[in-house]
Amino acid sequence: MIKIEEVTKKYPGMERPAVDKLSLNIEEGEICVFVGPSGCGKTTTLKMINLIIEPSGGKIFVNGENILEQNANELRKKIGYVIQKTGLFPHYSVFDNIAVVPNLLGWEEERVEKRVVELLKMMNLDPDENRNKFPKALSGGQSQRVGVARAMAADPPVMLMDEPFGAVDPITRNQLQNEFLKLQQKVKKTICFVTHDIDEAIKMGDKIAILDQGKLVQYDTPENILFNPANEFVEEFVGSDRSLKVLNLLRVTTVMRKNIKRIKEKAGIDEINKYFSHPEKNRILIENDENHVVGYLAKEEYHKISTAKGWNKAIRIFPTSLNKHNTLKDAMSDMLQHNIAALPVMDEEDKFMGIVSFRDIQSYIGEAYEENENEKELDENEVL
Amino acid sequence: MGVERLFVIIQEQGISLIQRHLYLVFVSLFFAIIIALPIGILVTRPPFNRKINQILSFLNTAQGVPSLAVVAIFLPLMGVGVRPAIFALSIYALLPIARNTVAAIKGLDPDVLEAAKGMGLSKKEVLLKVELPLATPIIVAGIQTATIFTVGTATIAHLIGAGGLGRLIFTGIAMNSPEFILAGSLMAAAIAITLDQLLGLFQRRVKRKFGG
Ligand SMILES: Nc1ncnc2c1ncn2[C@@H]1O[C@H](COP(=O)(O)OP(=O)(O)OP(=O)(O)O)[C@@H](O)[C@H]1O
Ligand SMILES: [Mg+2]
Repeated sequence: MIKIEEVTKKYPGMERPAVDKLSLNIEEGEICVFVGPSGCGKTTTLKMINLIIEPSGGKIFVNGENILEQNANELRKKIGYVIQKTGLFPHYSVFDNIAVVPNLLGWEEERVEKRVVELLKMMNLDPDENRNKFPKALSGGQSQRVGVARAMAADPPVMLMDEPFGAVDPITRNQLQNEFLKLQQKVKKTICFVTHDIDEAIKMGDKIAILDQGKLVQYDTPENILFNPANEFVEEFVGSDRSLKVLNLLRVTTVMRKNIKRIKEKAGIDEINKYFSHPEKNRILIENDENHVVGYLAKEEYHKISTAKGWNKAIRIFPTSLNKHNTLKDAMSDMLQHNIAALPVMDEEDKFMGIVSFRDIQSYIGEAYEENENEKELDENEVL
Repeated sequence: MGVERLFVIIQEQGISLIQRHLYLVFVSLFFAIIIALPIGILVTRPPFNRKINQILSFLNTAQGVPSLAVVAIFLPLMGVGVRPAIFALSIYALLPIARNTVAAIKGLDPDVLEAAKGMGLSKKEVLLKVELPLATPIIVAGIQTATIFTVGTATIAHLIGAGGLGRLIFTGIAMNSPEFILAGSLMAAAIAITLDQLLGLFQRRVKRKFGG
């Protein structure tokens, strides 16, 4: 979808080029993250794709067409552009900001109206509450949401995002990242995303392009960047806590176990005794009358409680649950916070999908590094 | 000095002198604005924008030339009367307007301009939809400054035969009559304050309108 061929940019008066013979392909529907130390040429590369900066050499094709042969303004209307400080027009309302490109394209009023409202909802901004606000009345996170909505207004197939979530606090950033990934699954844009934060790169990228002094050092999937760094520079840039970063990359679904024995809260002790009589079965999931998983029961705890008091006292209630978009890092962080060794994963309708345990995460990461392979079969034993 | 005499002077000559004074002020401002705006915009476009700082400091320095000198410079060139007066006043008034136009556009948030460009707005669209609206509050402030200057400077226009409130002041000086001087100054000050307030009101309104 985007093809960069031997692209070079040399600013006047600079000794070495800011971007040096860069070549790479970005597939349709993928997020390609450009990452690297400050001054490595990320922004320059990005801005050459919408001709804000003119390349000194090389070719760039967007959708098969050489951009240098196109009218820059027409090209830019087909490429969404998001920048760190948002660049929202301070004299335009939120509505008018989002409507800029549709209006330039001469859309009818009704169509613009419908689209803006749709985008505000997509960005989790209440349309009635926010459409007439001016940018200075927005929080940092809201401004970024409007900035993304504005870039997506005319549904461009390609989007360029330069540190779009760089100016907000870490919690908001995480939220914006998650929302954006969720949205991307639906809209499948081809995206060039610039960041200097390797964690963000790993989280957001289908592919990561690591740049150093204007040169492409490695262009690969996040997994390969983490498990097979091309050279010392990449290794160092990724950091010594590579295995922790893997946690940020993998979703809970990779280590989730699905078919686990469940019993009702009101089940009789015979049923439990029978299950626990098997020496390898040490944990069991507890569900309520609505088939909703509420907690688990461990063999040791169960045996400590006297039968007279009722075995329910031994149940460990799940204090929270995960969803399938959560990363292993989210899962671990929740487990540590709630001091619990496993958590359930729930789907959108709050139905039980499976269970993720501390121990499974640990062994998965350990083995992934040893064998450098990702797929594993997990059985139902010893999960919790 | 007699207060009564002061009132008589104002009553007898006030209206016609104020009319002439306002005429000089408004016509000069009109020309100043229609000349200063395009100059200010042009200066912020390439290739002139490379010299933008020099141009700004020239405009500031030029403002320091005494108004009397400006009028005097044009006297031998254009003779006496209303026209040379308006010419000199316009030149004097266009300085703050041009300066503020340049400074306002130069001071715009570069991210906003880049976003505008990145969305595919043409240069003309960027100017009309983004740069000028956002610069308007500061440009209006420049017009406000120019107005006050012009109301004051226009009193000198009498020296080259253009009339206005300067007549009272200079007559007063010639006749050693404080009532005349005071009548002229009071009326000029009243005009200046009124216009300043009106423009201040307008400036605050545009500022609010443009989300400032
Ligand atoms: N307009 C310019 N004129 C001259 N040099 C420039 C210009 N823009 C960028 N550079 C230089 O080109 C190099 C690459 O800049 P670029 O902005 O692409 O870096 P970056 O990777 O985006 O860095 P950062 O993470 O700090 O944003 C830097 O050395 C920078 O100083
Ligand atoms: Mg940058």
